[in-house]
Amino acid sequence: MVSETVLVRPEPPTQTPVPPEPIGGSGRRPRWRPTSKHIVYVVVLAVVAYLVGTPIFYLLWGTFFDESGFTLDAFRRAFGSPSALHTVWNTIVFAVGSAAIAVVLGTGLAYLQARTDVPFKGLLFAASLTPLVLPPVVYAISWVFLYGGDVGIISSFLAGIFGSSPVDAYGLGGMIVAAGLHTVPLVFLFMVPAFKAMDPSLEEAARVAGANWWTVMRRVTLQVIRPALASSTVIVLVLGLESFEIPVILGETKGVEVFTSRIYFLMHGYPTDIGAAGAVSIGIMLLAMLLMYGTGAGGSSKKEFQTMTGKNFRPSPVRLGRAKGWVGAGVGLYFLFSVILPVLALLYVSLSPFYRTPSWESLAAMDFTNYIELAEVRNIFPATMNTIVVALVAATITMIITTLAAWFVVRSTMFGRKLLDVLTLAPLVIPGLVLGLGMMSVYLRSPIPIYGTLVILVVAYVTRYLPYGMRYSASAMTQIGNELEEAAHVNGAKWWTTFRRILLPLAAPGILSGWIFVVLVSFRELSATVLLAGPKSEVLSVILFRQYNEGTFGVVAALSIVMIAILCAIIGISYSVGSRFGTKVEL
Amino acid sequence: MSMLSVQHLQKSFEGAARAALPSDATGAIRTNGAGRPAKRESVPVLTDVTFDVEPGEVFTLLGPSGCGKSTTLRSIAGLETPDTGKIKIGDRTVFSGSDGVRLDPNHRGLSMVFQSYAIWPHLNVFKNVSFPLEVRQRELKLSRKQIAEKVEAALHAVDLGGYIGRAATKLSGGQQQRLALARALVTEPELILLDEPLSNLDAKLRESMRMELKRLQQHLGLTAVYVTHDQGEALALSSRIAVMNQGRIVQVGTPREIYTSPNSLFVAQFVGTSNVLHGAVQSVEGDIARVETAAGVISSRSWRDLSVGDRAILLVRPEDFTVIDLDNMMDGENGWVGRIDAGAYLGEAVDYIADVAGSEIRLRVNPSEHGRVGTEAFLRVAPEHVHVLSLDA
Repeated sequence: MVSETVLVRPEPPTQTPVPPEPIGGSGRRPRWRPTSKHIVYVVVLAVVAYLVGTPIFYLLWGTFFDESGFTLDAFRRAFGSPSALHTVWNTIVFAVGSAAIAVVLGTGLAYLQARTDVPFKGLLFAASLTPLVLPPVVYAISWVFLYGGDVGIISSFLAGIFGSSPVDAYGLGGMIVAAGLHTVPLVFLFMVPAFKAMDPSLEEAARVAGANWWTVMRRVTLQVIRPALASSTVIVLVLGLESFEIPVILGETKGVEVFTSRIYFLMHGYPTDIGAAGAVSIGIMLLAMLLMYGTGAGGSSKKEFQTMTGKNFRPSPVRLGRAKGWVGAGVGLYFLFSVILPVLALLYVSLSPFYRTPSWESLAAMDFTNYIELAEVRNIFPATMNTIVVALVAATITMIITTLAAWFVVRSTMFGRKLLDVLTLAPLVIPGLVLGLGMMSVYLRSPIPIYGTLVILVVAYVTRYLPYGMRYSASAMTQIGNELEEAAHVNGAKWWTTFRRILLPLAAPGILSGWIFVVLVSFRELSATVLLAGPKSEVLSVILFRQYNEGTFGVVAALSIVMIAILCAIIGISYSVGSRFGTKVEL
Repeated sequence: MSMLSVQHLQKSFEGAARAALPSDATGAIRTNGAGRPAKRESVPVLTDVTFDVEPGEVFTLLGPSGCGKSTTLRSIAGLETPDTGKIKIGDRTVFSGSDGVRLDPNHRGLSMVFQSYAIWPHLNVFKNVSFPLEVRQRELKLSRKQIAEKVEAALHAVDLGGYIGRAATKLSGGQQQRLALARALVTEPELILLDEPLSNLDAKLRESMRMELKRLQQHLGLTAVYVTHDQGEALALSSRIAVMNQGRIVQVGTPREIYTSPNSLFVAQFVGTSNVLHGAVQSVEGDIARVETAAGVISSRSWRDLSVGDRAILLVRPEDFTVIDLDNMMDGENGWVGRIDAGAYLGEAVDYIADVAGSEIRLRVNPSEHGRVGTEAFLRVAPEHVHVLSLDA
């Protein structure tokens, strides 16, 4: 039935129901009336177009037009200097390098998690995600504490042995490794469901046909998950292009400049050159777009294979056998360096009354001075509340919009659904700083009085994280066989009923995972927030960044630990809520 | 009045779907007279599909992969839209290309059993079956108790009475299949659509489900449209069969008609096994046509539209042969002489492969036959079992 199933395109009905009476001939066409589906579609499309369209419009306007009209002068100011070529090169090396680390480690860990009998699975799962709860600014700072030239705990220890430290967080190498390790969870999150959804009989068939483990991996497993692998690679590359905190903190001291740090310095130099910042932003967006649409990874996951059908299967884990110990040790080593040491460093610094390299003496002198100071930081308690509320609200709105949008993109044949697809993914190529800048210009001028309130943060986060919500919802939906919806339809359920009673419950684990993800990233968002938060709408990430700039490392470390604790609590609660409703959350 | 009337359905796929087709079908963009690119070339999926289904009938669409049978069924369900044509269920027009009528699937009042069963994994057995009743609550206005009764009745009908609170995914393949059937029966629909419902079952189970289906259908007086590529299933279950090939209905008839007098080489070869020989029509006298073949002249009582001199195809079913020793052969017997090349004992019958003037002929004979391999024999066939089709008519 191969050729037939290919030919039979799912074609959900797009027309209005007609009263079930015999139609009295004479070519009378029934009047077209919009159904709930059409109304929802138009609303979703309009909301997405507004969210994405306005900041891009103002960004382009501010870059190409000044008082005298159309101009390309912003590009001359941005790219005219000889150092600009350096910046482009650094950006590419940084993005590619960190993406390579993230993809290799993330895919490997996901495979171990989803398909093998690797020891301490639960721990592996939790640990693979830990970098996600470390805001990038926190992660960068923890790297400074560990490997930062003379001040780093490990680098200064190594310098004592070798004369100079072979590892250094500062510079391009440090940036690449730090950003790469920090992005591993993203790849892990994309790849685990892909591995889990894969029918193991595909691999078993290859084994039976005589292929060894490595050949199966190369020629079957990786081929089947290629769509997921390709799109997560592209997303990680794009994230590398937009990464802001790590290049600013780790690159600055050695003068390594990438696009984002250039934008940041253009915005913070005097006079602020918004036009040039816009021009650089357009550079990033072009590069990112080239990656996204050039590789075809931009489209929503229609190309992915439908793996959840009316029939179900239970994957049996691949036995690691004798390799088990080695694999376990390798995984352990990875977590030591990527997670445990950074968190320990943060803990140590947060508990040390003043910054110094660890010794028995300094360990004995640990106390809670920094936490007490933290409590005295201005606005800290309202900011904590704000951060939680904004993250929860933004995640909820994001998932509502994207779940509906994903259905229209993946399942419907509605006119303009490709535009919807492109629009929801577009924020991926808009760096946070640029989005903040665009939204600032929109809401400073518009009569909608949300500037400096929490609402503007919600709007910014929803916009920024549409692509992620979309990824989660779309891949959850592509995994649900069409026939499950069709069966409901034929049995008399209308669109909304089918959506609510069949699709939503089946996609719920994916949607909930997306929600948790958006909560996490909203919670730590800094690059757009730094431009949009006002004195009455401060959030924790902004306070953290300000404290860092003021050099109060102890308080920064204490706040980092607090933020990590809150994030862990949110995840824990979502998990238990999810399981209470019978939904197994799979991040 | 017929229960379902399907008239002149046409459908073709364009664009994306073409990628899946053989390269010769993927024409480049054509330009019309004015030099403007014309509509992209399209590939017909359904061509003039027309049939009626009477109440109480099991009407089967039979054909190979890609013949359009599933597309036809999905068009009836409203899951796909033909380009033109008309579909009526009872006296309701549910689709009409010319009038722009197109009822959503949920307004067609049908039931459907899917090839993959489409059991909703998040609902238990009861909920899967009660769903169709619940979503039609506005029309049906059933009490909770009535719903429960109907669900139980439907589950009982398919022998799943004891599984009511089970998680649907915990059922075995055969049980899921019956659950899908119960879900389709619970609304007592006037028409039920079955899309290869048995193809995911193993042979034994398939056989018993086939009988089960037949029994249920007769017991409940169901009207059904059944799609399958399995000719055995089609013959066993159907009141009538429509054989489809390349988007067209090639022949419609009762299972007996389809099997015993196929109207084309395709039907003869797709339904059952047929031996094919070529020949030329020598004479037509009364109801007997005589056809000259490489292995001699043979008589046929099963032919139409033949005239003397036509090139013809002869079709004979393996089981219609009788094997006779050359010594025992009497004058004027109808058949060919052939050499038995190979044999296989099947328990209920013996299969032979014979060489008749260079053509390979399959025979299925009484199991008591043996010891013939390597010998020459006379392959007797009654004139009414020799089907002749003209290549020139």
